[in-house]
This record gives sequence, C-alpha cells and structure tokens, in this order.
Amino acid sequence: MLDIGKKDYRLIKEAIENCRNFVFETVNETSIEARSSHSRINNLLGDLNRFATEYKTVRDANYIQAGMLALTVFRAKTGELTNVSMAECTVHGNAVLKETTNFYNSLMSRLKELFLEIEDGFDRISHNDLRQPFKSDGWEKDIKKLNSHINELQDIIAEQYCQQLSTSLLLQRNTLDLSQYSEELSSSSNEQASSLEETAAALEELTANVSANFAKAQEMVNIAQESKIAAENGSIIAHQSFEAMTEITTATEAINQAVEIINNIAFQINILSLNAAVEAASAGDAGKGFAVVAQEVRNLANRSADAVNQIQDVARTAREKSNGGLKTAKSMIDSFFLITQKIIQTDEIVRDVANSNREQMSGISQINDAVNQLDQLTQQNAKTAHNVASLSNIVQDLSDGMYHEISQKEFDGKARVLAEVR
Amino acid sequence: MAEIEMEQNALIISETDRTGVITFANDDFIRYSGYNWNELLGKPHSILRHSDMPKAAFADLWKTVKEGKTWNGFVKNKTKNGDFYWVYATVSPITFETGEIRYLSLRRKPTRNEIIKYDTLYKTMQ
Repeated sequence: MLDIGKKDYRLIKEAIENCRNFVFETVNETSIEARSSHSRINNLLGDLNRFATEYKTVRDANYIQAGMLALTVFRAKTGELTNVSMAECTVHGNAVLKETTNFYNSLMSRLKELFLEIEDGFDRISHNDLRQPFKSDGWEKDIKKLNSHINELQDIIAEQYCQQLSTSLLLQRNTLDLSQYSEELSSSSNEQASSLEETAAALEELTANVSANFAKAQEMVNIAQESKIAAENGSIIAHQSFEAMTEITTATEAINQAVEIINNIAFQINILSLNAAVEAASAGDAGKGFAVVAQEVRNLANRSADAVNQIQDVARTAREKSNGGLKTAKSMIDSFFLITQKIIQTDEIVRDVANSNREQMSGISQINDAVNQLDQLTQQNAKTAHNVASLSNIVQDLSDGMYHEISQKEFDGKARVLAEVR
Repeated sequence: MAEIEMEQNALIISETDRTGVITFANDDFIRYSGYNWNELLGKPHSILRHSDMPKAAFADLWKTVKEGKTWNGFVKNKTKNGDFYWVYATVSPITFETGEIRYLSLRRKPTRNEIIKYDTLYKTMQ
C-alpha cells in the first residue's frame, strides 16, 4: 500500500480539478506541473498533463470540424453547395460529428446530382427536347413531389406545344385560303370598278339624251303655247269675219230692198213718162217738146231699171258670196276650235313628256349618286382586299415562323398532331 | 475604453482567405465587433487588431497556420467604436475541394484569470 503525503495529495487534487475545468471548458488552457518530490507521483501528473494535451487536440479538431460544418451550411443557405472537408485532425474527433459531416457531404453529393439532373432536364428543354422525363431515382417525398411537379410542367408545356403546332398548321392553311379570298375579292373589285366606269359612261350619255329631250319638250311646250295663242287669235278673227259676213248679208238684203224700191219708182216713172207722151201727143205741137222730155224721162227710167237689174245681179252675187263666206267663216271657227282642242291635248302630252323627263333626270341623278357610292365602296373594297392581302402575308409569315419554331421542338404528341392536321 | 465581456456560450466564427481578408462572419462576430456585415466583407481581419497586442503573437499565428497546423491563443480585439474584448481563439487552415486554402477562426470566452495572465504577459512583450 502506498500512502501519499498531504502535499502530493493536494498536487493531484489540483491537477484533477484543472483537468475537470479544462474538459468542461470553464478554462481554455491548462498546465499541470510535475512538482512532486516523488517520481511516481510526477509520472501520474505527467500522464494527466498528456491526457489534457491529447484532449485539447480532440477538442480543437471538433471545434474546427463543427466550425467548417457551420460555414458550409451557411454557404448552402445562400445557394452554394459545397462539401465539408474532413480536417486531418478529425481523426481524433467526435464520431457523431464525423458521421454528421459524412451525412452532410453525401446529402450535398445527392443534391448536386439532383441539381445536375434538373439542369440537364432544363438544358434538354432549352434545346427543344421535351420527351425525356426528369428522374428522381432514390428520392422520396418532397424531392419526388418536386420532380413529379417538374414532369407535370413539362407535360403541360408539351401539350401547349401540341396546341401551338396544330394552331400554326391550321393558321398556315387558313391564311392560304385567306390570301386566295383576298385575291378574288381584289379581282372582283377591279372588275366591278371597270363595270362601274362603263355604267357611269352610259349614264352620262343617257343624261345628255334625257336632258336634250327635256329641252326639246320644253321647246315643244312653248311652241304649243304659241300655237294655242295663234289658234285662239285665228278663232277670234274667224268669229269677226263671220260677224262681218252676216252684216254684209244684211246690207246686201237692204240694198236689194232699196233697189226694189228704185225699180218700182223707175217703173212708175216709165208709166208716168208713157202717160206724159200720150198727153204730149194729144197736145200736138205744143206738146212736142214735152214729148221729147217725156221720152228722155222714159229713157232715164229704163236706164234706171237696167241699172237696178245690174245692181240686183251684183247684189245676188254678193249674197251668194257672203253666204259662202259665212259658211267658210263657220267652218273656220269649227276648225280653230278643233285645232285649239288638239293643241291643248298636245300641250298636255308634251307637258307629261317634260315631267317624265324631269323625273327621269332625278332618277338618273339618283342612279348617278348610287353609282358614285358604289364606286367609292368598290375602291374601299379594293383597298380592303389589298390590306387583307398584305395582312394575310404577315399572318402567313408569322404562322410560318410559328410552325418553324415549334417544329424544331421534340415533344410527346408531335407526330400525332402532324398526322391529324396533314 | 471599456471592456466588453463575452457571454459564456457565445461562439464567434469567421473565415478569411489566405491574405486575411474576411469572407465570412457569424452573428456573434458582428455583435461583438460592432461592425455590420457589409462593413466586414472584404476587409482585412486586422481591423479588429488592438494596439496592446504584441506583433509576435500574430507572427506566431501566421507561422503556425501556414504550416497547416491549428493555432490557439488569447487575443485582445478592438471594436468599431474603440472598446475591446478578450477572446480565446482557435485558428485552423481549411482546404476546399478546389484546393483553395482559407482560415477558419473560432473564438470563445476566456476566463478572468486567463485575461489577467495574458494582459500582463503581452505588456511585457511590447
């Protein structure tokens, strides 16, 4: 049995307390001095000092390893995936810390693999290949879910590409039709324009004709008016001449009556002269001169009777003539009446013609307006057709570009869409 | 200038490149140094250096880590406003997959006795 002295006991107790404080990190440094007078005690103290030094190495290694882990986790938090180096001194370090570091590093490797897979996937997509699904081999739960979401996204994009492809194909076809239709519209507009031009020329001619007709009809109205006035004047003059003829007849009758009276007087004078001759003969020579006078008177009476006869002849002729004149005047009146009637009818007809011409003119003017409107519309149509043609060219280019773009991509359903649309 | 005492469980972590320029600092680093992250990034670690620290201490630090070994020591640091705080530092080189070498530094609270001991020692080294 070895018993130790008080001093050595205190030395050992101090050294153990020192080690304890060092292990529990209430101090950072320790130094155990082998100050005993006994070499075996000093050996023990030396062992304790070695233990403390060895422990310090382990403690530093653990601190450094944990520090590196903390640094690397911090970098990972900012997006930089790196492995934690296993420090050389970690050979002495804590097994749990080492294992944690290993786990962390294998997690980083797996994450890097995953990111590489995702990066490759996105690279394929950016290089137009959507046919390969993202792999999530060995991953469970959250990562598997993430990968299936990415795959769903890829499917959705492929579906949209299918739609775009089919749309671009249909668009190509439709724009082809559209450009054909616009060409047809353009050519029919041009034909329409030339027909309209002809129509306008014909209308112009028609307008000139109708306008000339209208002027003539107007002239005819004037002439008819003048004719009517002339006929009315003629009728008045015929009435006047009828009245004059009647007066002449009456006057001729009066002449006849006066001549009859003169004839009677001449006859009586002749008788008287005969009586006077008889008386003169009975008076003899005394009556000789008187007989001459009586003879003369008788001669005068005879000459009067002759004159009366001549007058009566003339008066008869005059009566006959004035009767004829009456008849003529009567038929002139009738004729003028008829002429007036006819002129009135003519005037009405000519007025009708003039009115029709006026209506025709306004009709033609309306047609003209319509033709002008049609012309404008046709020009508009031609312009529209042109615009549609250039638009359809643009759309054609766009749809070609769209088709070109989409046909370079590879995705599920591409062959199906191409087969369907073609 | 006043001394700031670290809390018992505080742990300051920082990383510098081979030339001592700060590439990472944790919240406790920011808290005790008084600088914010933007002021620290790209600055040399020496902005924390206190004039009371003997040059020999840092010379030893650099010599040790450049040999690929871990350095331990007590350091008096200066805060942004001129106060100071004592730390027990563990500095070690770390090698990245790319072969790049940086320095990791961990600092814990020293005991009062340790502070007194090294404050006295460093004064003799001036």
